[in-house]
Amino acid sequence: MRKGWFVLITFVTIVALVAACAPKPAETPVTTKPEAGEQLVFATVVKSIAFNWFKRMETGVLQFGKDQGVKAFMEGPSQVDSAAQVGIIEDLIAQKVNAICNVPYGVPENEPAQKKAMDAGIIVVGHEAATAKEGTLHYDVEAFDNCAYGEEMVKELATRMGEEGKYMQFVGSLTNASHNEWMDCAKAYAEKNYPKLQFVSKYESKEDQEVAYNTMKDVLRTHPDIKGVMGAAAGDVVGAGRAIEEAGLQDKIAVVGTSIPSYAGELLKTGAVDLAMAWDPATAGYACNMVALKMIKGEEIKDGMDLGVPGYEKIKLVKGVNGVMVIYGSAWIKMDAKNMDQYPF
Amino acid sequence: MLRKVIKSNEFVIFLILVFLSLVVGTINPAFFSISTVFDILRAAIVYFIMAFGLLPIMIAGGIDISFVAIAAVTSYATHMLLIKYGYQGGIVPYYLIACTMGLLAGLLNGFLVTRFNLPVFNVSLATFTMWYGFNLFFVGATSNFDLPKGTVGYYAKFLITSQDPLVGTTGLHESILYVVVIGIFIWWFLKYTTIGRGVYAIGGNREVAIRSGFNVTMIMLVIFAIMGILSAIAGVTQAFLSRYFNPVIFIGQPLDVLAAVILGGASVTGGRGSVIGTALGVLLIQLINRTLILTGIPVEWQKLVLGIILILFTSIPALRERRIKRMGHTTELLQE
Repeated sequence: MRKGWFVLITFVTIVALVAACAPKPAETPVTTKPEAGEQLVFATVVKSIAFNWFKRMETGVLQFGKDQGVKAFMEGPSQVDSAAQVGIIEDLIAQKVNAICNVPYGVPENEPAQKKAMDAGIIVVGHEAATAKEGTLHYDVEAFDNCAYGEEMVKELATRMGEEGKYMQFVGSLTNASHNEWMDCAKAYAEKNYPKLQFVSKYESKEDQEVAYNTMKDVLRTHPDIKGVMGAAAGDVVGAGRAIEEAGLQDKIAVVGTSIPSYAGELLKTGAVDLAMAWDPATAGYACNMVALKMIKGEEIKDGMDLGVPGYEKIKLVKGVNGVMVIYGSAWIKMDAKNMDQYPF
Repeated sequence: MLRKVIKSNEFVIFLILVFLSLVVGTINPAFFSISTVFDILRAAIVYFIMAFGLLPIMIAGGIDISFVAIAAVTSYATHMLLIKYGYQGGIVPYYLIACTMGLLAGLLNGFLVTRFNLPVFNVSLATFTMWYGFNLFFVGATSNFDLPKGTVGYYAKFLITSQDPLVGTTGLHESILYVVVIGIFIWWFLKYTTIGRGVYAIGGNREVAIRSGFNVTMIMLVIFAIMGILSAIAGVTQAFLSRYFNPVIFIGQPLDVLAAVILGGASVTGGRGSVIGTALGVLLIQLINRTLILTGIPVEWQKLVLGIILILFTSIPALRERRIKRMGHTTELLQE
C-alpha cells in the first residue's frame, strides 16, 4: 500500500513538473495597437522561435523595421506547432496589425487563419508556402526557384573541377522533393553545358553526416578518380568533407553544396568543403515584409521588378501549383573560407 | 564438438559474411584492404555497443527500441551541460555523466516494465518518443559542433594506422577496445552469473523462472541498467567519432541494431542469443550497408536489395530450426 502511494506521488510530481515547464499558450505578443495615422505595424510569424535559423530571420525583420520606419517584430511558438502558430495569427488579427508575413509549419493548417486575416483587411505574405491555395495569401516569397539553385550549384562545381571529370551527388533522401529537384536540374544542366562532366550516381545520406561520411569513403574506393561532390542536406558536405580531408584529397576533389557556416565552418577553413550555398533567412524575412509594404503603398507587384533587397533585384512571378502567386528571388548566398564570418548562423 | 560448431547459427552467419566479402571483393578488388576492415569496424563500433546492451533484453524475451533515444539524450544533454559551464577538458567526464544518466534512464524503463508488468516493447516505444522529445524541447534542437579543446582529435586516436592509396589514412580506432571489454563482460555476465542465467530462464519461460526462485524484478532492472549505460557510451563515442553532438542521433537506427541481434541468432520470443552471434550480426548488417556502394548497385535499388538479403538471411536459421523440429526432438537432444 505504501509503495502504491509512493508511485502515485512520484507520478503526480512528474506530471506537475512537466506541466510547470510546458510552454504557456501563445501569449499576446504586443500590447501597442496601431492607431489611425500612426506607425504601421508588421508582424512576422515563424514556425518556431527556438531555431537559430529564425533567430537569423529576426535580424532581417528588425532591420526592415529600422530602414522603413515600420514597427516590425517576429513572433512564433516555442516549438513547431501549427495550432499554436494559428493562435498567434488570430491574436494578431485581433490587434489589427497592418501586415503579417507568415512562415507556416503546416501549409494547409495555416490557410484558414491566413484567409481570416485577409478578410480582416490585413496584408498576408507567405514564405516557404509556395503550395498554398489561391486566396489564402496575397503573395508567397521564395528565396529562389529550386531548379535555378541546382543549376547555380553545378556551375560552381564545374568551375572548380575544370569542367571535366567524375562527380557525384548527395540528397538527404530520395523522397525529399526540393533536394531531388536541385540535383536533377543540376544534372540536366551539366549534361547540356559541360559534356566532359561525368555523372556517377546520386546517393542518399539519410540526413545523417555519418552516412555521408561512410558513403564518401566507399565512393573513394569505388571511384578513386572522383573529382566533384554535390550536397543537398546541410550535413552532406560535412560528412563527405571529413572523409575527403582524412584522405588528404581536399585539393583534388571539389565539394559544393547546401550548408551553413555553423555546420561546415571548420571544413570550409581547411578547404575540404569548397563552397557552402544557402539562402539567408534574414533577407528572406526582409523581402517578405517588403512585399507587404509595397502593397500597402499601392505599388503593383510585377514580374522582373526590384524589391530593393539583395537577391530580390529581379523577381520572377509565377503561379504556384495550388494557385497562390509566388515571387522567386535569386537570393542564394555563397559562403567560402573568406566570407563565412559574415553569415553567423 | 566440431559438428556442433558447424551447425551453430554463428557459423552460418560467419559463412555468409565470408561469402559476401568474396563476392564484393571480386566485383571491386579495392574492397580487399586493411583500410576497408578498419572503416567497417569504425562504423560498427557503436552498433556493437548498443547491440550488446540490447542482447540481454532480447534474451529475456523483450524487444526494446528506446536505447537509441537514451543514447541521444544522455550524450547531447551531457555535452550541452558541460559546454554551458565552459568545460574544456578531456573525454572522461563525458562518459561518467552520460553513464549516470543512462543508468537512470535504463532503470526508468526497467521500473515501468517490472512495476506495472508492461510489455518491454510498449514501454520502450513510449520512452523512445519521450527522450527524443525531451532532448529537442528542453535541451536543444540544433546540432552542436563546439567540442571542448581537450577532446579535439579524439576521432583520429588510432591503435594502428594504415595508409591507403585511395582513401588516405585510416586506422583502428581505440574505442574498439571498449567493444572488446564490453563484449567480454556481457559474455561473462550471461554465462557465469546467476543473474545472467536468470536472463535465459526468464526468456525461456517466465513462470518457470519465477517458480525456480529467480528474482525477476531484480534481473530485469539489472539488464535495463546495463542497456542504459551502454547506450550512453555508444552515444558519446559516436558524437566524438563524428565530431558533433546531434539531438536526434540514431533516430533511424534502432531497427539496424535489432536486425543485427536477431541475425546473430537471438530469438524474438526470448531464451536464445549469444555475444559472438550478435557481433557477427552487427558486422553483417554493416557489410550489407557498405557493399551496395562498393558493388555499384544503383541507390534506388539499395533498399530493395537490402530487404531481399535480410529476408534470405533471416529465414535460414528459421528453416534450419524447422528441419530440426521435423527430424524430431531426439535428434536435437543427441546433438547436445
